[in-house]
Amino acid sequence: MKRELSFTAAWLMMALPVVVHAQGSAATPQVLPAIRYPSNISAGGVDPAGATLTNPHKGDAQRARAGEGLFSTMNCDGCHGGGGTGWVGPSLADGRWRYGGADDAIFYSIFYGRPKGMPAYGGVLGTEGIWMIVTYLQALPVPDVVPTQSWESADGSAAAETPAMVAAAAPAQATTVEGMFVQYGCTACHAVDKKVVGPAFHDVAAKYRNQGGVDSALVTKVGNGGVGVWGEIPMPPNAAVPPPDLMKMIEWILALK
Amino acid sequence: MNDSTLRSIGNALLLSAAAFGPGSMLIGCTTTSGAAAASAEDGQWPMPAKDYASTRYSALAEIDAGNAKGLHPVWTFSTGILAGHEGQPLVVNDTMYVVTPFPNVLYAFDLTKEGYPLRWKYRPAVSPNAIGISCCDTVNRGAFFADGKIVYNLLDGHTVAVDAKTGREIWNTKVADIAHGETTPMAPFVVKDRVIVGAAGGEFGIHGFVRGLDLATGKIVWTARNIGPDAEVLVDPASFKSRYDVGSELAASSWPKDGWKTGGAPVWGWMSYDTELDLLYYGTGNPAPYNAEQRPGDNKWSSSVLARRPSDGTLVWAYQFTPHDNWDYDATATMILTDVNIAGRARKALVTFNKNGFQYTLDRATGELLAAPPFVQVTWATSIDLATGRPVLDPSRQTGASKGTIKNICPSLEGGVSPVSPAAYSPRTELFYTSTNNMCMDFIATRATHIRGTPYIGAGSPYEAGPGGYMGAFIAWDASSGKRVWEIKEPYPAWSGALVTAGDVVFYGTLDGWFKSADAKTGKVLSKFKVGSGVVGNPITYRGPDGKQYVAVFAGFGGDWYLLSGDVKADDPADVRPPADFMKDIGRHTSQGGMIWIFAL
Repeated sequence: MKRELSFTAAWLMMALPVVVHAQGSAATPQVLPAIRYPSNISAGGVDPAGATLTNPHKGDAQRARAGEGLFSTMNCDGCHGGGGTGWVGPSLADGRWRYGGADDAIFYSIFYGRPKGMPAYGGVLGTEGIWMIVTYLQALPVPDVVPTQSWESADGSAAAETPAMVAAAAPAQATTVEGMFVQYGCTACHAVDKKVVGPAFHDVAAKYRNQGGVDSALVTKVGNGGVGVWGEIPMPPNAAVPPPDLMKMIEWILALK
Repeated sequence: MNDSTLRSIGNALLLSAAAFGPGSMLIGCTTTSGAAAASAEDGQWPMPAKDYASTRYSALAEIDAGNAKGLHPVWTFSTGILAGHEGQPLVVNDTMYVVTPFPNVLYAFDLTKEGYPLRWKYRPAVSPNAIGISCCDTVNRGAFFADGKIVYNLLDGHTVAVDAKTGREIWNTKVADIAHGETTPMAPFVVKDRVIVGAAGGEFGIHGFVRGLDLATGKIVWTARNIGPDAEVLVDPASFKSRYDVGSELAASSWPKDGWKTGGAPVWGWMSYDTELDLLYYGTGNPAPYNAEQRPGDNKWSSSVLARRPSDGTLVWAYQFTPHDNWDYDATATMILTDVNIAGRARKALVTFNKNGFQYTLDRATGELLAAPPFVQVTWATSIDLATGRPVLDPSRQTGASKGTIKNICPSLEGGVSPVSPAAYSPRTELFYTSTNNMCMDFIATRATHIRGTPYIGAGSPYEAGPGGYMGAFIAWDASSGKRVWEIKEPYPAWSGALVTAGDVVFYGTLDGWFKSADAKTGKVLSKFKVGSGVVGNPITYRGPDGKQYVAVFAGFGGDWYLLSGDVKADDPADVRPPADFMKDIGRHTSQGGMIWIFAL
């Protein structure tokens, strides 16, 4: 898909997770996305017509964990702080949302960016990846400090606690390679048979399969991340993935025909 | 001569200088050496540090150690902005000029009228996208008066010149690109007909630079990179000398291939100028990313001081304080130019208090290192080797993604002193005065990905108070002996600039919102007043139209502290943050809110 998306094309792309296989279908209604969140007021009390996007993975612990990894490797934490507790960008862990906390509102914030310097990530992160981050943010526990903060607890110290930096439930370890691709966030940007923002695994296999001994080099490459081989969209490092699992996934990809 | 006579002479010098063009301006209030500070004090404050030597010293003496207890506020003004109010006002020709944080409004107050009403204000168009591209709050560090113009930077990468009399924009030049992570919080620096500016973005992997603009038109005359090939760094191989390095292409060969293209080395602090040597001095910030394993080598000239010819940008010498910086020890602090007695010999020195905890004294003609004692607790290095100019490292405190958590690194990356908080120097006491932080950190590096326009960091660094439990101190420092002469301990990190006067009074503010004066010789606190918000700005002093001495300072908690202590925020119900775990109660004492305060007897 070209980087310069028309609005309709962008909408179709976003709709992919909920309207699976609908891409390119002339039958898909060209409905404007709804920008609708609790703080919006509709003139006349009438909401504008609009489709809604729902997070297909809400509550999915594996994707929440993958989203936590992306939150760091895609540099979200550089502005929103570790655990999303706020830095130059607002807190995402206080249960409150400047631009709305509904699935689609968070999705739009990440995909299109926001006008105070939130970059649009839609060009460097696949829709699956954005949903992983949405799933992670929605799983963050809201800290006790909201809304009352008192300095008059018995020991004189602040009553607030820094919220935990990980999603509450630890996900089960994936048992299949396909599960690992989800668990480790690979499907944020890759699919087997088509280019998302990263190359199709089929194309990766075609490039590397006949190069002897390339497996361990690829393990390092995937672990460290990189840019330039498949274009100018960088792949983030995957330091959290155990090398044996990386090896399994690479072998699986290279075996694709 | 009485004060008002002096003031008239000062004004006359300024006005006549302006009439003769930029080359002769400001002769009434500039000096290359604090030791030779102007005897005819003009009572003005035309540039960030008052003079080219960056002394932040005023010869005004009406307020002295005997009467300073009578200081009280005589005027306040809300800037209408909540972000951290770093920087300082200017006072020129009975007008006070104040630049706010984003959106960078410029106020011009008429000091001749009761209540100091505005002569005008200038509200530039500036992109709100800069809010998210600034690493550490949407700050601005001030303006520079030259040739009848107020020159300053908008946060979104523009430098503007505004007519100091009318408030009309004279020129507006794009000098940096926020889409590349570049923002412009520093105050420009003007030498003759050149406006020197640089960009912040050490946390965004920018390719750090300074530019020289034409003062009359705003046209970019030269651009000098701080890192990369000699041709871009403006190194003339025939004349460039680095005392501790040999060879060419130092700023490219000390990086992995192409690493300098996203290697940071931003410029967001202060500049100085020696009129006799015709050298401009400034420090560069950290190399990017913080994870040093992605950039083996010294990474020149990040975390360094560079000496350039202001007319064409040629690099004359450079010295790197922290080679292969893996602790975020930016070297953008103020560089004070004065004589310092080293081993019984007066040297034409450059003195700076580095984030890395060492106070460096350099020969400002050659870049030779003369002394480098620690001024706070330091654990990352044991000393600086004067023969090689390099730190003697503690191998257990080197960081990197493969090393896991490295504990107890002092100072923290907020610095032994923050470059935000410029020091002052008094030729009367021959002492330096500076805020300091008593903080240490753990450092956890991770591999980072450069995605243009997003942060490029790769580290976390939880803080804790250093030995003694207090987190800051305001100190008097003797650079000849390398010793603290006195200190005033503060419960929170000390983050304001310093001001010292011929009345032997020093002024500074605190993070919990006190504005204090102290005896420059003894450190005895003479007065304190709780201003409206924490102080991260720099006090100035000037002589008013009535001949009296005034002291002005911004209140307005912010900078790194608003980010770390997000619970001081109260303006966005959708953004409710926990307190900093190392400083849970600062929100009990202050909240955001920009105010200008003026004090007098």
